Amino acid sequence: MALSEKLQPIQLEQAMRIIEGTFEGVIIADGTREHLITYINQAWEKTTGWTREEVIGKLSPRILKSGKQDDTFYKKLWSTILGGELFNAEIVNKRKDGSLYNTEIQIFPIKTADGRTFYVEVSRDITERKLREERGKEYQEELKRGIEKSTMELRKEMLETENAKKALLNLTEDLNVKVEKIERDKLADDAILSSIGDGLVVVDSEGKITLINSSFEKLLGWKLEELLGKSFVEVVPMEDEAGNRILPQERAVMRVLAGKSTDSIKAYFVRKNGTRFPVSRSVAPIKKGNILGAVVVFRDITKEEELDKAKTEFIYLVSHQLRTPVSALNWIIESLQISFTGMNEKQKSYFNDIKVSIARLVKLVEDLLTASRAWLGKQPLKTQKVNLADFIRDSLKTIEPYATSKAHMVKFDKLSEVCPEIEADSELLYSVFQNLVSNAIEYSAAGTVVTIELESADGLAKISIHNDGPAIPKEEQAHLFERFFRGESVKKVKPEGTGLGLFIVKSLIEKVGGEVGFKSEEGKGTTFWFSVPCSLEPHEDRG
Amino acid sequence: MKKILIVEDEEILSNVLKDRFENDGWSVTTAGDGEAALELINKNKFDVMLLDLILPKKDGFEVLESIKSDPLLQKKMSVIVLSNLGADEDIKRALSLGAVDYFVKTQHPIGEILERAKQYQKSSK
Repeated sequence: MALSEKLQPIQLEQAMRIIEGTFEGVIIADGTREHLITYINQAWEKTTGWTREEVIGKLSPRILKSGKQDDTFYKKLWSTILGGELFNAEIVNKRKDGSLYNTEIQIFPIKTADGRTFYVEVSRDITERKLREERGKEYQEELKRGIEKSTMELRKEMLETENAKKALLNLTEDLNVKVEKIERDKLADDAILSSIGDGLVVVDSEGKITLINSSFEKLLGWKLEELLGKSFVEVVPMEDEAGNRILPQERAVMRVLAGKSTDSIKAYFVRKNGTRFPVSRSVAPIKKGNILGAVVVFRDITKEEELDKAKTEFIYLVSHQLRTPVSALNWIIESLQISFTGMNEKQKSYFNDIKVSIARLVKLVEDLLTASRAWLGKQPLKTQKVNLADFIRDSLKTIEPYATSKAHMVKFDKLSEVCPEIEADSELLYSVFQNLVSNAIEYSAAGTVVTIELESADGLAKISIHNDGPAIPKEEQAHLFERFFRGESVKKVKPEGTGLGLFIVKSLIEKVGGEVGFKSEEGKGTTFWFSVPCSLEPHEDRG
Repeated sequence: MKKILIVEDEEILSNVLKDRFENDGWSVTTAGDGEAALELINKNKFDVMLLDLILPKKDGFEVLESIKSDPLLQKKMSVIVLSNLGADEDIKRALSLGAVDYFVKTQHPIGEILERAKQYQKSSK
């Protein structure tokens, strides 16, 4: 709609008043007269700083050009206006004093009746707005930046939290695995503790109970709950054989806690109900630099003691009860022989048979006893210095009658220098020697020679006994030293042998740390030998 | 006359010992338990005593202990232990209680015991 059409109904003057008074700047330029300004209102004056007198009829709006708009702008401007359209823009203009300001303009052409074109520009100083906008923008930018920064920081924090969370989860998992393992181990330990037959108690550095196992509970009659934190030596008294209480400071566990050594004495633990039992116990300290506590392991040895007692009684039984009638027979025969003169040949022969039989019976009893002692255990050695060469000669003197009765000759050769003396139990040594020599005599033909050789090497003294009898069958050789073993061949020669001889020899020699052996070949005879260490350490009874 | 006290609870053994020693010219007294032995020692003087260890009433060890603790009983008598106990502890104990010798019966003929008794009797003169 052309502006002129709009103005029709309103008086020009009134219009002029509106235009004059409006806050928006208005400038009209004559298009036909080089755009010279024909009208400006107060607002325009105020904004630009130019006055009416300075510009009307004298200058064109070009004075406002700030240089901030480029060609494209003006091309657009003119093409719009000339097309008869409204042109709208926000531009930067220049005031009279040279300062720049932002303004929003609206330019439209007016064609007058006489064919002139006027250009009207309505403008608004938007500098402040612009400023505000700028500041707003700036503020927004800042805000945006701030938000971004915060967001980034937040993200970073979140990431860290995530990582921390993950790390924590891993840690928790590890801990869980460890806890499970500890629990498993504890279960295993508990199982072990429960299953061991020995009683077990763990005490702290003051001797107070921290742990017991189920065997402890069974053996002593206490429950763990009753004992935790109590002093072990007070709760479980210990007595000696006679029933005297052993003082707390003398108790092995208190000695171990104090860093002292302990001895082992025969002792009894007293149960909760006051009864007692013989005990074998051992104490070990728990150390990590300092002594943190101790572990006591103990066993009820009532059965062992009963067994020991039974063994001792058995040996006693054999020694006394069997020996008594045997010795009676022996002595009676001896006496008979003296008093029996004028026996006929038959009688003499029977007499001899009785003697021999009794001698064998004596031997059996002695062998049984030696075997049971060697085998069942308690034979401590009593040693003395023994010159082996002398010993052999002396022993042979004793054996000689027997040898002669079998029409054997016994020869003794000392092959090399032997350790001058050995520490030995001479009874034991004689037992071994006599066993082997009588075997050699027994199992070789009458009239043959038995040779005894003595030598030493490498700290061992070796005695060898050789006969020229038949070889020991191969299948029997592995069993020779077994208890009660008798080969078929020897059974024929000596039907009443006990089968204990070589077993005793082996037991006794091994007890002192020596060795026994033999060699037997057809046509070459048989040699039995045994060796003893030159210096015989008194041995712990090894049973 | 050589005087000997034989303390042995097994009659068979006691008899055979008695015969043997009497044959050799000894005056033999026998006792069957420890108490009887101590009574006899108290009232008589013997040159040698053959003492078994396993005896009723008082055993051989107790007899030895009594003699050891009572100087009146010792009377220069040589005590030879004749026993079928042969453990080292027994031998040691007997010897420490004053026995001069120890024979395990099964291991020695009477002749040997007789000879030893004669030696002790001679040396205590």
